[in-house]
Amino acid sequence: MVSSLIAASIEQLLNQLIKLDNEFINDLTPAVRQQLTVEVTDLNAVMTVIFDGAKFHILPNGDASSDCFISADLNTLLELEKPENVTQLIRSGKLNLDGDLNLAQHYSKAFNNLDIDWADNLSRYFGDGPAYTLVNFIKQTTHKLKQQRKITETTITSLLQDELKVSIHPLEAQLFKQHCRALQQNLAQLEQRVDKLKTVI
Amino acid sequence: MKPQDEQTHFGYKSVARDEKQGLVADVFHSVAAKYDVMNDLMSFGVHRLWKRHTIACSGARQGQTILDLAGGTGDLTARFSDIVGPEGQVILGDINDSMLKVGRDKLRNLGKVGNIEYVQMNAEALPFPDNTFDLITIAFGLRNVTDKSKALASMQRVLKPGGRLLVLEFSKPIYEPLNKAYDFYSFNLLPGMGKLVANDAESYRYLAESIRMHPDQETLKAMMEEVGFEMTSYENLTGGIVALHKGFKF
Repeated sequence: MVSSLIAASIEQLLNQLIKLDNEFINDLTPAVRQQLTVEVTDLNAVMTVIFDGAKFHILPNGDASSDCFISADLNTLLELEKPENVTQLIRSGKLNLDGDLNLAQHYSKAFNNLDIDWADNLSRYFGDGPAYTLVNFIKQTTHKLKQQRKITETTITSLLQDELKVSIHPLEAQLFKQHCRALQQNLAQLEQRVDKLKTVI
Repeated sequence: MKPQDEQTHFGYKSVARDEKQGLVADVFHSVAAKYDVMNDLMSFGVHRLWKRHTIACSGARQGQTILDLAGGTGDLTARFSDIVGPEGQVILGDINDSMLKVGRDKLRNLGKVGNIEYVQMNAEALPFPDNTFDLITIAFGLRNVTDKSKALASMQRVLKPGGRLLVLEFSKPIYEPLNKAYDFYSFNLLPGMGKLVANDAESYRYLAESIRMHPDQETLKAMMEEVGFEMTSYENLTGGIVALHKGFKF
C-alpha cells in the first residue's frame, strides 16, 4: 500500500506540473496511452506511467506488457532529462531499456522542455508585482548560493589536495632575509654618501 | 421451513435465496447517494489505494474492452476509460439502478463520455456473448452476489481467452490482533458512522456481517479454479482486510 501511496503522490505532482506549464504535455502527444514502466534500482521501486492526453496515471508495480521498460538508479534517471543522454547511458550500461526507445525519448524531451513560469503562476495568488519580486529574489538567492557553493567546494578541494600554507617556506624566508640584507647594505652606502656630501657642503 | 439449499445468508441472517437479491437491492438503493463519502470515511481513504493497486494489476491497455462489474459509482471505470481510450470500451455494470445512476452522473460530470456504457445486469447471468472482454473487475461486489459460483462461471464465459478476472473484496485478516480491532471497528463504529452520514445504520451493519460471511482467501481461490480460471492467485492488502484475487481464462 505504501507503493500505491507513493504512486498517488507522484501522480498528483506530475498533474500539477501540467497545470503549471501548459506546454508540458505537447511533447507527450505521441506517447498518449502508451505505458512506460520505470524501475528505480536503488530504491527497489517500480512504477508504470500512462499519459492519457490530459493527465498522468501512475500505477505502482511494473507491467510485463509495457511499451517501454527502463531500469536505472535515481541519479541516472535524473540525467535522462536531456534526451541526447539516453543513447549514451544505454551504451555505458547505466540504463537498461527494453521496448520502444522513442517513448523514453518523448518523456525525456517533455521534462527537458519543462519551463514553469513561476511569476505568472504565483501572480494569481499574490498579484503581478509581488510575484515577480518574489521569483526574482529566489532566483538571485539561488544563484548566489550556487556561486558560494562553488567557492566552498574549490576551497575544500584545495585544502584536501594541497598543503595548507600556515607559514612561508624556508627558502622564501631566506630570500626575504637576503633582500633585507641587500637593502641594509644599500642603506648603509646611501648614509655614507650623504655624510660625505654633508662634509663637502 | 424451507430446505437448506434454498436458504442463503444476508449478513448473519438466513434468508430465502430468491429474497436476498431484493434485500441487497434495498441496501444499495439506500446508500447510493452517500456511497463515495462513506467509502472514504469508513476506510480513511485507503479504498482508493486498494483500487489503484487493482488497476496496476489489471494490465489494462489501450483499445481493450473491460467490464467493471458491480462497478457502482465508477471508481475503477473512470481510470479504465482513460487508459483504454476512444478505441476501447468500458462497460459499467451493476444490478442496482440507483448505484448505476450515481455512477453515470459522476462520470459524466468528470467528462468521461464516449467509451463508457452503463448496463444494469445480474452478475450471475451476464448478458454478453462468450469471449467478449479482455478484463473483468469486480470490486467490493462479489460478497453481495447470491450465487457466487454461478457469477464466477458467468464471468469466465464472457472473458476472452487470455483475459483476466480481478476480484477485489473484503476478506479475512491474517493477524489476530488486527482481526479483533477490525471486528470492534466494524460492529461498533461503522453502523454509527452509517447512521450519522447516510442515516442508515442497518445497511452498514449488513456490510460488516456480509464481510464475515464472505469466503476467505483460499476458499474464493478454489471457487475460481472450480469454474475454470487458471493461474489463480491472491494478494492480501492491509493485512488481509482486503484481498485481490486474480485468475485467467485460457
